[in-house]
Amino acid sequence: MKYRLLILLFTLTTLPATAQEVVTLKAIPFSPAVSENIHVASVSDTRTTKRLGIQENLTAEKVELFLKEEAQQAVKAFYALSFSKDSTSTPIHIEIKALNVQESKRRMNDGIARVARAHVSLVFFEKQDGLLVETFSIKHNEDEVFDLANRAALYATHEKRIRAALEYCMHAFLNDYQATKNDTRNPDFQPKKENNKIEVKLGQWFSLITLKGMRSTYFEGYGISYTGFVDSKKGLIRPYEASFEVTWARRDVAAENGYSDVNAYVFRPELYFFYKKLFPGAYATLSANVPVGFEILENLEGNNSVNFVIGVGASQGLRFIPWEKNGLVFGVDFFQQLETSRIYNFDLGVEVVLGINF
Amino acid sequence: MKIVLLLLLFLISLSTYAQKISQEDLYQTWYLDKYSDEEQYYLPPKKEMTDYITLNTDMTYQLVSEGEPETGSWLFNANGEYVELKSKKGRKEKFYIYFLSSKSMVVTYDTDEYRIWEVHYISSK
Repeated sequence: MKYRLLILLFTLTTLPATAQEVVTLKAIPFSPAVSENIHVASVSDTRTTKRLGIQENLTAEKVELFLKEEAQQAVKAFYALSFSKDSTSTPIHIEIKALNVQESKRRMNDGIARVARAHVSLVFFEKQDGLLVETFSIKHNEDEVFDLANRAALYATHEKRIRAALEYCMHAFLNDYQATKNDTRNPDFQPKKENNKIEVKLGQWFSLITLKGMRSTYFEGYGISYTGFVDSKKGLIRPYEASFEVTWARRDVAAENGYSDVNAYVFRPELYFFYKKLFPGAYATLSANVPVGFEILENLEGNNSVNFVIGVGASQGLRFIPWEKNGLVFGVDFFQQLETSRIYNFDLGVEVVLGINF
Repeated sequence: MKIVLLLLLFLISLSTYAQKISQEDLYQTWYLDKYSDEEQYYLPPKKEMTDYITLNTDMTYQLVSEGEPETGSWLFNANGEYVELKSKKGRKEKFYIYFLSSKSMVVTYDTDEYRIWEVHYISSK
């Protein structure tokens, strides 16, 4: 018994403590574009997890977010601000199937942006002969993009996006209601399912720092890269990458060209860069890039000269990221490039990649 | 000391001031006036000089963008403080409203290409 108590105490103390934060919806009414005399009679919440999500607050603590007064009451009160009940208004019943907030990052233009989402899935019902009959359903993502440095604004506005999402769903319902309200008792009536196939989750953002060892027909060297991308099962992923390479001509190659030493320092901005998820943890990569930098050439007499280099490059490879959260990354790339080097015009080689994701 | 307190109160009230957007102000024709970023204002390029958007009370719109006309339906989301345009071809576009009066409107389009610009519209030319 003593041991059991001790184990229990130990388990409780070692469980990661997640603080809870309550989100209160501001009372802002809205005017529907179509005027229909309805009121929301009841809201049920059939989500298996009642929280809005676990997010890092501004002091980097994990916080579990909940709606104040439970979601069904908060949502009912929110709609009551805009649709008041009277003797002639039609009662509408709503089921909350999903209501959550999310945060991730994504590539934007030439940089990285933060993206926030409130995701809502609602089903609308009418009572017919004592039974609730589904008349409309909608899934909606209320997405907003923020500057990478502006996480404070993102965190402060989760509540606003929930309200905007709820309002959006009601506008969509009312548009449909206006067109179909006289048909819902028709035996052939099929309730509309709006946005039923949207992606409900923001893709996970991966940050990779990798080192690469390179060997080509003419050069050897190493490089360091930062890669950021949003994971996606479907379609092509467009990562953001910045990399820097230091290479040197292989000794025999340098000598054949009349130099004792050739070192090159190159940045490699991407023109086109794609990942394609093959299966969880494995990606095919394809890139077209513009190597730009300079090479320092030392001739056999020991005199140095500097040559500006620019070119076009391409690579094809594989990346393995076995651990989703934190862990090792490894891969291999085959590359080809045309460059204004004094040693070569066309080069091809292979690079081995090793790094971490965090 | 009192002055400092008053100044503080004034600053706090400024920072907490949020403009309430009145949907009534939206119903009119908005002519593209200028763009701005954090540093300065920019005149629209020549091909956008005649750009405008008319938001009708029946929730339809007509616009000219880079000289190309488009029609469709629109929606104002009071809680999100944005307007969503849905063209007849089914393309959706959203702009957030930062400032709105009966005479001028400042918005940001929710597309990566234009996200860094604030777009200034005026209701008469």
